[in-house]
This record gives sequence, C-alpha cells and structure tokens, in this order.
Amino acid sequence: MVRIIVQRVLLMGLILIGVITVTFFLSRVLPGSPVEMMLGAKPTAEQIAKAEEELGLNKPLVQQYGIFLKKAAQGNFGDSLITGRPVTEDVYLRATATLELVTLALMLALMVGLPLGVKAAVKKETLLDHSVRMGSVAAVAIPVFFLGLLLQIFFAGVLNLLPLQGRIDSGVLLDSPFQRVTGFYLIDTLVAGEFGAFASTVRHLLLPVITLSLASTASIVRITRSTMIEAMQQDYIQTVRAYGIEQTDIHYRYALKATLIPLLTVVGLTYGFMLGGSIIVEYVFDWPGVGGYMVQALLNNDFPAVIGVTFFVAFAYLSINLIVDLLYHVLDPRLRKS
Amino acid sequence: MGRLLKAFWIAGFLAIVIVCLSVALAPDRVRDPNTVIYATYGDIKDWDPAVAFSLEVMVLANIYEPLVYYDHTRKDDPLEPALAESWSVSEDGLTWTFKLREGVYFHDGEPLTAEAARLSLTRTIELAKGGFYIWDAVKEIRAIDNLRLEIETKYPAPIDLIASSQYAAYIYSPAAANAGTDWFDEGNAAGTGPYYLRQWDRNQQVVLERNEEHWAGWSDDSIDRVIYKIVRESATQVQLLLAGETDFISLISVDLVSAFEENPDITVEYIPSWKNSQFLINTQQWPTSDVNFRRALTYAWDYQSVTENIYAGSAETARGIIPASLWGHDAALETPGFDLEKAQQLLDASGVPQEDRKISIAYISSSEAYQNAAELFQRNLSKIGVEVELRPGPWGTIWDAAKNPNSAPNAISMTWWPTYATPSDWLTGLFQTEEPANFNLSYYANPAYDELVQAGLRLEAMDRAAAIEKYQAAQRMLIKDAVAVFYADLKERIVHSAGLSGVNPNPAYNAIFFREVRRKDG
Repeated sequence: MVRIIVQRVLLMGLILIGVITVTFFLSRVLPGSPVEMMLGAKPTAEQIAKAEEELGLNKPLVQQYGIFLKKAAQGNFGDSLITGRPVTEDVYLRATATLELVTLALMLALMVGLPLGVKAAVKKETLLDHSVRMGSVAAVAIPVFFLGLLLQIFFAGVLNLLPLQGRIDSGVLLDSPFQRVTGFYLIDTLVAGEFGAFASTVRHLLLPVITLSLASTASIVRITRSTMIEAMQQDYIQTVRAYGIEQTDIHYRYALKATLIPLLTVVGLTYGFMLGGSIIVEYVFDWPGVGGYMVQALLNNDFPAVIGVTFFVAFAYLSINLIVDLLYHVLDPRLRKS
Repeated sequence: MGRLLKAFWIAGFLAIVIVCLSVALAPDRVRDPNTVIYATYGDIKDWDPAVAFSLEVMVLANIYEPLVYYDHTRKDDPLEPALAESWSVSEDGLTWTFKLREGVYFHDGEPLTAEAARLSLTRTIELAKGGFYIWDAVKEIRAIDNLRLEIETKYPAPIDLIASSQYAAYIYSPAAANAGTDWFDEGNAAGTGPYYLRQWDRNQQVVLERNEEHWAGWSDDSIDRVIYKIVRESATQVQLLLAGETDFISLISVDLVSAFEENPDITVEYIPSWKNSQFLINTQQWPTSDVNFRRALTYAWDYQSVTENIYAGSAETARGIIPASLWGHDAALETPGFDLEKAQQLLDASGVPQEDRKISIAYISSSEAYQNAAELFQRNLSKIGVEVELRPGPWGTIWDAAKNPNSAPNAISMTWWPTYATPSDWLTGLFQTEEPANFNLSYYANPAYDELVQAGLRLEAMDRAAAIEKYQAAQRMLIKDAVAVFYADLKERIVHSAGLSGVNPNPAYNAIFFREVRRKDG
C-alpha cells in the first residue's frame, strides 16, 4: 500500500512538472506581451521596457524557464499582472470559494442521486423508474448557463426569495465582518458566531449549488440504477433474500455496496471536472472562484496567473484521482490481494 | 434499516431545516435611501494613487482630491479650486504658486500642508509609475510656508491643467506616502475627499463612507455610503438594476438601451467624453505608404452610417483628432467625407498598381463597434477594388504586432483620451515621431509637425490662444497626410435608476462624484 502511494505521488510530481512546463512555453510562445495590461491604459515605452526587465521577459526563454522552475519549487508562481498580488494567494482565495461551491454541489448530487437511483432500480420499469430516467436525461441536456438564468429569473426575479448573485449580502459583509480562517464562508461564519452572515451565505449558495449539481445528480442516478439492477440479479442477493432479510437492508446494505466502485469513479471525475469546469456557474452567479480568475488571466495574457491556475486545477484533479484509487483498495478486497 | 440510509435522512433533514431557516430569516430588502450601489465589472488593482492608471480612478476620485478641478461646463475658465484655493504663475511661466485651503484634514487625521502636498507629488513623480510623466516639466517642488506650494519647471508648462488630472495628481497623506504602495494595496487609503474607504473585500465589494469632516460640508440629503459591487456579467447587472438592487450599472449592451430609455424607473444619460476613436493608418507599410492611397481610404469611410447606426447615439462624427468637448477643437477644420467616387480617383492617382490594393486592418475583437465599423469599411473598399483582411484580436496581441514594423497591419483601431486636459496629448502621443513605435502606430515621422506641436506645448502655459493656433496647423497637416481615419467622438453612456439626481459626469474624470448625487423623494 505504502509503495503504491509513494509511486503515485512521484508520478504526480512528474505530471505536474510536465503540465507547468507545457503551460509555461505555450504562454510565452503565443502572441501578445503581458505587461501592457499590467501598466494601465497608456504606458510609455520606457515603462514597458522597465516592466519587461523586472519580469525578466527580455531574457532568453530557457533562462526564464530556469528562474521560473526554481521559484515554482519554492511555491512561488510570481505576482499576477492583473491583481498585482502573489498568484498563490489569489488562487488560494478563489479556490476556497470554488471548493465550497463544488463540494456542496456534489454532496447535494449524492444525497438526491443515490436514493433516486436505488428506488428506480428497485421499481424497475414502473412509472417512477421511467420518470426518474426521463428526468435525468433532461437534467443532463439542459445547458448549465440556461438553467442558472432560469433559476435566477424565477427565484430572484419572480419570487424575490433568493439573491441573484455573489457570495454574501453587501450589508451583512459590512456590518458583521468575520475572520476568513478556512475560506469556506459556511464554516467561517459559524466559527465567528455570525449567524446572520451564515444565513446569508446559505441563501447565496442555494441557486449556484443547485445549478451545478443537477447534471451530476443525473449521472449519479443513472450509474446507481444500472449497477443496482445488475447487482440485484447476483446470486448473493438471492441468498440474502432467501434468509428473509428486510427489503431496505437488502437494497442499501448488500446491493448498494456493489455500486460503490463505479460510483466512486464518477464522483471522483465529476469533482475534478467541476473544480475547473464550474466557470459558467461562477460567471452567471458572480461567484468569486477560480473559474472567473482563469478567464480573466487568459484574456489578459496574465502568464503567472495562467500557470498558477493550471497548476491548481491539475493538482486538484490528480489528488482526487489518487484518493479515488486508494479508496478502491479500501473498498474492494480483491484489489488488495493482487 | 441501513445505517447509511439513516445518516442520509438525518443529513438531508438538517440541510432542509438550515435552508428554510436561512431563507425565512432573510432581512427585508428595504434599501437604505442614503446608500448608493454601483455595479462595477472589475475589481480595484492599484490602490496607490501614484500608480493607479486604469478603472480604479472611478473609486479614487471620491476618496482623493487634486489641487485643482477641471469643470468642462465653465467654458472659458474651466479650472476651479479644489485643494488649492488660488494659484498663480510667474511672468517667465516657470514658477507656479498654489495657495492651499486651510483646515483640511486627511482621512487619517493628518492636516493638509504644503509639505504634505510636496511629499505626495514628489513621491508620485519619483515612483515613475502610471501617469507620472505628465509632470515631466517639473524641476523642483517646494513648500514655501505652511500653505504655499511652489512648483518650478524646466520649461513653461500648464501646471494648473496638469494638476487637475485624474491620474498621478491626487494629494495623499504623508503617513500614507511613507507607508508605500504595499500599504495602499492591502486596501488602504488616506485622502482628503468627501468619502473615506471603509471596506474592500477582494473580488466582492468596495464600500465608501461619508467623510463628515470634508471641507465643502454636507447637506442632510447627501449620500452617506457608496457600495461598488463587483458584478462581472452584463445580464446580471441588468437584472440587479431592474430589481432595484443597484443604482448604477457599468456594462451596457447597445441592444438594451432602447428598452431602458422606455422604462420610467431607469435614466439613460449621454454626456460628452474626451475619448475618441480612430483607425491609425500605417504610413510606412506598402501600400498605405502612398499618401493618395491613404487619402482614398479616408474617403471610403462611411462616417454618418458608423456614428448613427453602429454607435447608435453614443458617438458623434469626429472633426479631426481633438474632440469637440475639449479646448483646442477646430470646428472649421476641413475633413474628408464619405465619397467613393473621390476615393476611386485618389486610388487611380496613387502609384499603387491594381494587384497591390490589399490592406490589413487590426482591431480589438471584443468591441462590437470596431468590428461592425471595420466590416462596413471592408465592404465599401471592396466596391473600389481594395481588398481588406481583418485581423481582430485582444489589445495586447494586436498592439504588440503593430509595434513591430514587420508584423504591423496597415491600419489599427485606437481609442484615445488625454491624461490631463490638453489637446497636445493626442498630437504627441499618437503622431509625434517615435523610435521605436509605442502609440504612434501610424509610424508618422514629420519634423515640421513635431516642431509645431512642441511649439504649441511651450505656449500652453502662458498663451493658450497661440498654442491653439499651432495645434490647428498641426492638425491640418495630419489631415493632409491622411495618417488616420478620424471618425468618432465618443459619448459616455450612463445608466442609473431614475430616483437619483445630481449625476453630473465630467469628461475630465471617469467617475461619478457621489457628493453631488441626491435621491429624489418618493
């Protein structure tokens, strides 16, 4: 087990170096210099030359790469040219916002998707099953931005029940400031004892979380349903049934176990995908997460930020993959033996 | 029952309870009438007034004040006192004396003195960031006594106009100056302005609160608090405005303007700005190196259609490079009009053979107006046998390509505005001989022109009428040499809730001065 972990971590390191190397050279090769955005609207030629020198952009590419790698090894990706702050700080601040959104969306997807999938499998070919399947096809088919807008129009516009955008109310943020310890507002507001701010955070989370979770709920339903149906036909289920064990126990205790492996794969992939792929939801709801940062960095040739954000997404993706692989070993005794 | 299932139910139930409580506990959405909300599309980058050279002036203009304000409504005498009560210039035009207002305090409690102003301006100049170069003429800044500031220049320069700039001319507290850029960039400010910075929550909002001690005083119905809320998506901004959750929006799609204009709850205002748009024509690159060919291009531009249809009310046809709203504009300047026949004649008179009549045009791809204008131009040129290759791209990319003579296009879009209130900004910034090219993307190099502009610059301080004459002559040269298609004086379009009055935009500052804004009753 330890050997596997060490192997995988080393491999991960190699992949990450590869990713930032490719990003580094791609960002340098593409046309357009980054300093123009950094200096404001009308910089003088001297200011541009000075900034290029400060950033080391006038050095040979290989030398630039060496300097970059050395700094990156110390966890320093340089300063963003747009915000003027260390990229690591920027990404951390925004990553927590994205993580909060994505984690909750995935939890919601699991909480809704799992029972629905089980129910649909148990009541195979009934009205319930058909509607669940229809529903999940529809849920996957709706474009995320459209769903987001619909929810905004209905819950914020027509009902005036939920906020349209942002992470927290302006007034709440002003009147009850709280310490950002984890960057997860739900946790930070609770720790600070600011229940008004907590409630405001919940209200702001609802629509983006629902929007983001819908498509993954659907895939969880479908995976759960199909593997459950397969499992229900296995001999061991027949045995359990012959023992006269209660139906719910058969479903949730014995049959559901068989779905965990494929489910884990889906959840792992979805989580990784959502971290980089929540851009649209973040955009529609003005969620100050990594997605918006990435778009801004790309549009403005903000090299350090592009590399930093790519690194973050790659790192998150790989870590989740690693965890999923390790969980396979925990969940499936067959893998442990081999 | 499975334990898993039980845990599921409990967690689900808890979540539902929390959600219901949170929604039920939502405070009533009654807006404080003395708070104004402005939906902005970008966060603040540089809080240091010595560095800020972009969007941030919108906030800084309410926190800081310059020595002098520029008021475009005062036609002949546009400068009015700000932190300086009065000012004068020596007879040789080299020494300016500003008498500062007494009893003014910075937000951190420090008093405004001549020494504080000196420190602030000297730091801005020495830092050499942002728009510091407007102070190029300055030789020395001295505090002669507690309230008198003296600025000595190397050559005569309009220091009064320069001091009214929205870039690099704000006066800040000496304590802030000593604390430096890093201190500012943590979200700190210390100016003398009507509002102080109460909160900056990165990526979310900036909150300004009324500075009770402000020297100009307050009335009961003044705005107490201004919230700049960061809303990056234009549709969301619109929804917030319609729901009354913001008073101003900053991203305005042209398609929505007519709907806004019919909505009684929303006011759309157009005010002249000092921004104008042109396509700079490369005077070195074949075939636009031929002057008759360039002239032909300026006659193939459909000026009226572009301003009326493409800019739809947000621009007027330009007459030369100096916008109509700024001093020095020449209303009598003879400029080319849309005339394809004349363009054809000029083409034929040029030395450019038929097979070489191909040009490339670069413009900022995110701008719908540039795109439509360039496409219209392309169609009109095709009628007279000139083939156009369009090269849209992000500004950083097209600018870089244009600065390199080998990759430069034949024409490039350019929107320009002055760093301080002077017509010379366009004349020097865009067309003065430059090696290598920075903004002179026409690659125009004409010693006679350079001389005229420099002579005008020297006259600006003491004899503005004489300066204007030089500038007019220089402009005629630009038209004769057809260095650009000068086509639009832009107007600022401001969309705000109809319940507000006193929104008096000023082309010299890209900001709303909230001290003057009032909420109408009811």
